[in-house]
Amino acid sequence: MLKVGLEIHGYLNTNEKLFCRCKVLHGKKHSESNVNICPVCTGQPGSKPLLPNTEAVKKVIEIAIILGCRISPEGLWQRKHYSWPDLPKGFQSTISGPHSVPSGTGGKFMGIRIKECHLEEDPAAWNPITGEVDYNRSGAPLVEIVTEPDFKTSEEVVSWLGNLMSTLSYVSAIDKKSGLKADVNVSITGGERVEIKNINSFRKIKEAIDLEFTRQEKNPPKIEETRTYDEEKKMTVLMRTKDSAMDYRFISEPDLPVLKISQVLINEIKKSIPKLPFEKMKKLVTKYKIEKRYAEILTKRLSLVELFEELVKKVKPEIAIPWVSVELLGVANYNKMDVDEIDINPEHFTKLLLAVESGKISELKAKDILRGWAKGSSPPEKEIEEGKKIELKEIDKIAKEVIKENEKAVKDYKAGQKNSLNFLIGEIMKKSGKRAGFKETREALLGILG
Amino acid sequence: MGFLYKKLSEKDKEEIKKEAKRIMDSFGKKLSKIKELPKEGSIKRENSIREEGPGKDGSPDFKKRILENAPNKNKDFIIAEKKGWE
Amino acid sequence: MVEKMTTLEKLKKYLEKIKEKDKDLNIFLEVRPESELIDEAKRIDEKIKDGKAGRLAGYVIGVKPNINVVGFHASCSSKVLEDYKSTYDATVIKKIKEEDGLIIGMVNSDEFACGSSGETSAYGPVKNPVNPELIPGGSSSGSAACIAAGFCDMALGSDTGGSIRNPASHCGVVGIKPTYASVSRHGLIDLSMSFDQIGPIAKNVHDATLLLDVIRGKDENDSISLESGKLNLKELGKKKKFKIGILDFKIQDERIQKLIDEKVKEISKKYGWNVKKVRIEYIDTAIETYYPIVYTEFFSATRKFDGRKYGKKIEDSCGPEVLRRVLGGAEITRSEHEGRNYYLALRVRKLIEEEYARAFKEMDIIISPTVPRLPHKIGEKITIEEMYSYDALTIPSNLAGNCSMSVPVGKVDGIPVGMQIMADKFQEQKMLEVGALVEGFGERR
Repeated sequence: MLKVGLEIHGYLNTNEKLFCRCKVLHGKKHSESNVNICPVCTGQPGSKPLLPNTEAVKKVIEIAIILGCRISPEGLWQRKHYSWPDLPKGFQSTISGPHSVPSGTGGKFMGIRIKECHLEEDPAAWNPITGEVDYNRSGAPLVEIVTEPDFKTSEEVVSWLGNLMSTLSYVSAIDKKSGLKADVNVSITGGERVEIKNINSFRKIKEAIDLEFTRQEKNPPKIEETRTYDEEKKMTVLMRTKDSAMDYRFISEPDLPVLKISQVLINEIKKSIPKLPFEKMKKLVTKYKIEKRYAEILTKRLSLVELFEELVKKVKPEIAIPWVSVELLGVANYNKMDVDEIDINPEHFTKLLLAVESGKISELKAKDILRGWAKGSSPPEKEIEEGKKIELKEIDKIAKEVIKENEKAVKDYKAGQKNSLNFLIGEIMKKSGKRAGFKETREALLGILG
Repeated sequence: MGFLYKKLSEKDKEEIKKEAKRIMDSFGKKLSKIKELPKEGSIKRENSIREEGPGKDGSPDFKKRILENAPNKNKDFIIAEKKGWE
Repeated sequence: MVEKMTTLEKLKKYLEKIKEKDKDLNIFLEVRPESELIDEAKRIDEKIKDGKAGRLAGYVIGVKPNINVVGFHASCSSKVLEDYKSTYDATVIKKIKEEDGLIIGMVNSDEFACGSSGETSAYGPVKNPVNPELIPGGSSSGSAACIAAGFCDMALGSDTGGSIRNPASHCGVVGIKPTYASVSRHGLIDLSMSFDQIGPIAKNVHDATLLLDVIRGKDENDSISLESGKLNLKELGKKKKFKIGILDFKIQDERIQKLIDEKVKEISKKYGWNVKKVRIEYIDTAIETYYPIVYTEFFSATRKFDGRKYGKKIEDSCGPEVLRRVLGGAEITRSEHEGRNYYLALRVRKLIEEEYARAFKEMDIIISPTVPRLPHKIGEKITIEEMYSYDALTIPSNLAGNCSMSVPVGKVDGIPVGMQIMADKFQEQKMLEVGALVEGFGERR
C-alpha cells in the first residue's frame, strides 16, 4: 500500500521580499541576475531583517483559512541553521520548528489533511554545475504547506496539487507562474519513509512517485532516507539517511519581534476571500446545465474555471464547454503535459471560439490551431483569416476533384455504404486544408452525388 | 590557551573545544541551582509587520561591491562550490 | 563645545599625532587617504562658514571595525574579514555623515568584539595610552584608546557585556552604553544580538552625549529598534537632586570601591543627593547568565562566514577566544540538548531584568565601579574565568537592557578608574546629567 505526503513551497504574490524592500520577480522569465538585491537578502555582515511584509503574512493567513487550518495568534520567528551555497545567512528565518507554532495547523483541503502551513523565506538560486549563485529570489516570501500522508496514488497527488495551486492562484495568494517546489514523502506498508526533495513540476512528481514506489516494492527501505530525483537517469538518488540527518539547531530569532495575528485581521481576511474555484464551478455547472461527463472533468480541473468564466463572457456556453473540458485536455494529453502547464490567454481562446461559433472556420481547423498552442497561445487572427471556411463554390470544385479521384468510394456509397460518404467528406475537408466545414461539405457532396 | 591571537593548530582547536564545553557546563550548573525562574519572555513590539510599497530596484553599485568581495566570481555571479551527489 | 580650530587644522593636528605615536600604540587599522580627509575637512569648514553645517561639523571620529563604513574594511580585527570591503553604510554612519562628522578611520578592537582586554585582535593588541604595558580594555580597545591618545574627538564602539565601558574605564575616558534597542544595529556585525549596542566614546560627557543624540533613533532597518527621547545638552552640568543607589557588591580590588565610595560621598554632599546602598539579587550570576547566551547567539551570527560570499570560513581563520565562543555555541545548540543551557540563561536574564526594574522604582541611578580590578599587563597569563570576571559589573546592564556609562573619577596606582552610572531604560537624560556632575569631580585630563 502506497502512502504519499507532500511538503509544498509556493511563491507568494507580493511586490517586496519578506524581510527587505527588494522587488520580487514573478514568472519564470529571468531578468539580469543579481539585480534585485540588497545587504539583507544577500546576508551581508551586519545586516538585519526588516519587519516581515504585511502582504506576505496576510496571504499565508488567507491560505491557512482556505485550507481549513486553525490560525495561531502569535508566531515566534526561528533561525533554522544549515550550510548550503544558496543560504546567504547560514540560516533560514521561518515560523516552524520545535519551539514555534506555525501560523496554520490542523486543516483539510479536498479530502487531504493539512498538517500545517507557515511563512518562510526563499533561499537564493544555486546552479550546482557552474556553482553560480543568483540572489534575485533570495528572501522572497514562501508559503510552506505540509500534508499528512493521505495520498494513495500518484494520480491523486497530481490532481490534488493542480487543484490546490489553481485555488491559491485564483485568489492571488500565490504566483502560479513562478511554479512550485515540492518535497514528496513516499512510503509503503512495512517500509520506512523516503523523502524526495525539490521536485518542480507535476510531471516529475508523478514520475518520481511511480519510480520510487517500484523501487521500494523491490526493496522496502529499512531506514528513513532523503533522495533526489534524477530526471535524465529516471531514478531517485540517495542524498543522506536519517542517521546523518541535519541538526538545524533552532533558536528563536533575536532580531524580530513576535508576529501578532489579531482576530480583527483574521476576520478582515476571511471577509475578503473571493468565492473559491470549487464553489464557483459547482455554480457554473448548475447555471449552464453542464452535462455530468463534462462537469466531472471541470470540477477536477479548477484551473479551467477561470478560463471558462472568461470564455463565456463572449462565447456561447455550449461551444465553450466541450472545447475547454475535452479539446484542451486532449492537447495536453497528446503533448504529455499537464493542462495547467499550457499557457492559454483567454483573449486568444475567445477569438478562436468565436470564429468557430460564427462558422468562420471549421472545427477541424480550430483544433489544428489549438494543437499549435501547446507551448502557449498566440493571437489567432492571422491563422483564422488564412484558415477560414471557403465558399460553396470552392467546395464544389474540390468535391468534384475528390469524386474523380475516388471512384471506388463513390461507387460504394451509391451501393448503400454510408461510411464511404464520410470518407469522401473527409477527403474533401483534407484537400481544402480543413477550410471546408463538415456541414457545408456534406451538403455540397450530396448535391453532386444525389 | 589564553586570549592572545595566534594561528590555531588542530590540537589547539581540540583543546579549545574542551575548554568551551567545560565553561558552559560549569555555568549551566551554577544557573540550574536558582529556583523559581520566570518564563524567558519574547520580544514584543507595537508593530510586527510592515506595509509594502512597489518594491525597490537594486543598485548597480551594490552588485559591483558584493562581486568585489567574493572569493570566486564571474561578471554576474558569486561562484560557490560545484557539486553532484555521486 | 566646538573647538576654535577649523576642522582642517584639527585634522592636521590629529594626523601628525597619529603618525608620531600610533606605531607604538597600534590603535588605527585603517586611516583614510590624507588627500581625501583634507578635501572633506575643507568642505565641512565651508559649510560651517555658510552656517549650513550639521551638529557634528568640526568633530573627527574613529570607528570600531565591526561597523560597516563604505570605503573601509569592516575587518572586525580579524583575518576572517581582512579583505571584506563594506558594501553599505551602517545606519549610525549615515547619520554621522548627514551631520557632517568627519570619519578618520577604523580603529583596532578585540577580534569580532570577543574580549575584554584588546588582546584577541588578529592585528596585535592596542596599548593603553596611559601606560603602554597595560591592556586598554576591550572589546572597543581602539575606540577608547584613540580618545585617550588624543588621536580624534569621538569614537564609536559597541557594547555587549561592557565593551565600551570597560576600555573607557581603563583608558580614563567617557563611554556610554545606550538603552538596548535605542541605537540601530543595522550595519553592526553581530556578537550577541540580544545585547549589542553601538555607543559613543569621547573625552567628556558633553561630546559623548552629542554623538549619542545623533546616532540614536528607531530605524526601519533594525526591527527591534525603538524611538527614544531627544537629549538635552543644555541641562548637563546643572545642579539637580537625584536618588542614588550605591551597588552593594564585593569586588576584587577594594581600592577601586573605596575611590568610588569617596567620590559619591563628596558629590552627594555638594548637591544634596540622597544616597543609599542597594543590593541587586542574582547579579552574582551575571557572568554565568551572559556567556551561554553570547556563545549561542555568536555561533548563529557567524554561520554566514562560510567563505562563499566574502572573507574566509571563520573556523579556519579565527583566534582562540572567537573559536571558543563558536564551538561553545555549537555545543549548546545541539538539538539533543534542546537548548537547555541557552533557555535557562534566558530565564535568569529575565530575573535580573526584573530585579533592576524593581530597584529603579526606588531610585534614579545606581552607581558602582565600572571594573572590579585594575587592568593587567598585555600578554600576562590569565585564566578564562579571570578574564570573564572583568565584566562582572558591566554585564548586568546588558542583561537588563538599561543604559549605563563610565566616567573617569580618578586613579589607583596611576591607572585610570571609571565610575559606572546606570539608569533605567530610556532614562539616558538622568544618567548623563549625573555623569556630567560627576565629571566635574574627576581629575581633569
